[in-house]
Amino acid sequence: MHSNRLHLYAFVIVLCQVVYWPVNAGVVNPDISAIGQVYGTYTNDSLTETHDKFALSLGETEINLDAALNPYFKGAFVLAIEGDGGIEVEEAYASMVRGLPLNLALKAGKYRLNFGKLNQVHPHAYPFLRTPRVLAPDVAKLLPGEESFNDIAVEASTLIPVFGSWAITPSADFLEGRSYHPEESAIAHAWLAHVSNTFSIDPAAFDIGGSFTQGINNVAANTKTTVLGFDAKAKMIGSPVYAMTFGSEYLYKFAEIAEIAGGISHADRYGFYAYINNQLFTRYNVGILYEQYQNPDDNSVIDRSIKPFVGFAVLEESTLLRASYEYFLAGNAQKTSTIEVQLLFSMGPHKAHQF
Amino acid sequence: MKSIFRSSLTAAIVFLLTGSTMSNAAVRIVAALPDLGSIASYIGADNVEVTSIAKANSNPHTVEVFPSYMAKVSQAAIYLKSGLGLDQWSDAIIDGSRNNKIRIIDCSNGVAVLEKPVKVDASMGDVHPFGNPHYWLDPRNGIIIGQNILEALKSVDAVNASLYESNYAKFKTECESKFSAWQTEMTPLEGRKIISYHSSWAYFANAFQLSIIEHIEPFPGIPPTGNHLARLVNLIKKENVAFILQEPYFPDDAPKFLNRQTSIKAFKYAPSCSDANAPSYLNHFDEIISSLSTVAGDK
Repeated sequence: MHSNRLHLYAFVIVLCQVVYWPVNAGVVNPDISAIGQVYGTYTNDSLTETHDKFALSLGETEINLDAALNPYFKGAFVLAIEGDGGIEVEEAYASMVRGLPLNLALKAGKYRLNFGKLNQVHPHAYPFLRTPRVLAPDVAKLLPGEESFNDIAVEASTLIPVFGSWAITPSADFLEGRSYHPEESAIAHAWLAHVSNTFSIDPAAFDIGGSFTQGINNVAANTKTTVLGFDAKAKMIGSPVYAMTFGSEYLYKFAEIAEIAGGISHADRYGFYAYINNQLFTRYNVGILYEQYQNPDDNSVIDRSIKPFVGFAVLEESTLLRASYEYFLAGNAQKTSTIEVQLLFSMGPHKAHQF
Repeated sequence: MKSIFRSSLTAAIVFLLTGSTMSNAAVRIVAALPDLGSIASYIGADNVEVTSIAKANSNPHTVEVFPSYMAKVSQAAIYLKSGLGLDQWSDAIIDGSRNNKIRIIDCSNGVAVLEKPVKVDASMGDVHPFGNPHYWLDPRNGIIIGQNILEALKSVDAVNASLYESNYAKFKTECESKFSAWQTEMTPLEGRKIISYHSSWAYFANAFQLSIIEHIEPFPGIPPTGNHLARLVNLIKKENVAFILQEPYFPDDAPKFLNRQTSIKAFKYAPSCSDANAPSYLNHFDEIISSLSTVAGDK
């Protein structure tokens, strides 16, 4: 009898919590932001439909929703609306940011993977226009994926303070693996590991890291792709109104390719980019980006690109006007020039800037 | 040989996981601003180890989140937030630190907030929805900040509560006596009309009876336009504006233009003290007030 009463009390307590939860959940709205981009492009690249003409286009529109789910979990959604109206869930994940031992954090869902430095960051937050060719899976074809290295995955990471300002952040991701073989319906899992070392020597901050990922590029043939990456970033704060940032990543891809005639061949390629960005009075930036990589169709051909860029926050960071000129050299043969102007506008809360 | 290797490896892992280079006795405090850190150093004295995130002469609204800050916070017992929406970057640092045990103190608790807007949207500029967040620039609010820090210290280190109580009482007395001296020093400027670049100086002006009649920014966080500067030129002449208060992280063009047109002086001060050491917070007021009092002669 006594035990029944205890069960009843317990049931009432649980029921109260169930009723209480949605009442609170409705009160707290997530942070919502919308980011729009308008491009004006002029190129003499004859492979482009609009070559030798000034073309206006609407770039990807991004809708971000994020909020704390409770004191331990956070959730985020990033919806990407293409210029032609197609909507894609670019990211949808929950992360457990506290409550675990050994400084562990967990993340699960679909997200831009923690490979190198820039892949996790959305291109509108780069100091220059567009994703570097080396990191764009549909251009240099060094990273798996389509527009970015993005997959459904589970990640565990930790933060290890060493001494002074030096901290090591290792992370490991278990991937669904579809980014390696987007054309196939069969599933073959993949994995990713990343480690970053961050430290400050006043007035500069540094981040040096390494990444390793491996997955199956052809499930039927069980052929593997492995990508190694090294990244470095440094920021020097010269004065209250001037800062200089240097960033670079080097990628090396080892790929096994199943030949139609049978057998497996190897295609190993490298690529790297490096940029310098100068930030003045928080409203202005000017810099240069250099890229070099082995052509995905012919390893003996080296593609190079040099891209000076400028940016100007019209009033403050919610309205940016940016421009770049790219000189692209495809294996010393095809030379193209592209001038791009971008208006980037964002509404919603101003989030903290991550290093 | 194997066992030496194994024990060295174990020691290295323990070292990495515990960050054993930090001194163990001190209560580790990370402060969003050096001002909050300085007051914590005063009250905690030798029992605390304080670091601050924002630099004195950098804009506290836009601090970039470095992982090294997260490493500091991961080992801290107390995080002192500035609050009122100023240091939203603090949340990213705290989350990134994965510190489950940290006590997060909003130092604005108990402060009489100025310029609390009724309605906020982006057309009004970077207005803080909870009111003006630069409250530490009124020394009387320093005492309230001290009270918040005292409570936090007592809760994490109850053994030394009486020491913290006595240091807080000392800080309060010194702050009150200095405030009275500063008020006397600033008396000749009482009621004078001034212009500030950003709205950082509202609490300072309120404490020392200065009247901020305009800002160089037409809206908070929005750079000045030609029309706005022309209006300021007329206003300075008409209202006999005493001087301009400017933060070091804003460009000099507009104050220099106003100086050329009206001969008005601009005083450039960081809105935060130089570091998180104990005397810093009060010294900062000493420096500003002794420099501003020279204007009295120009009246």
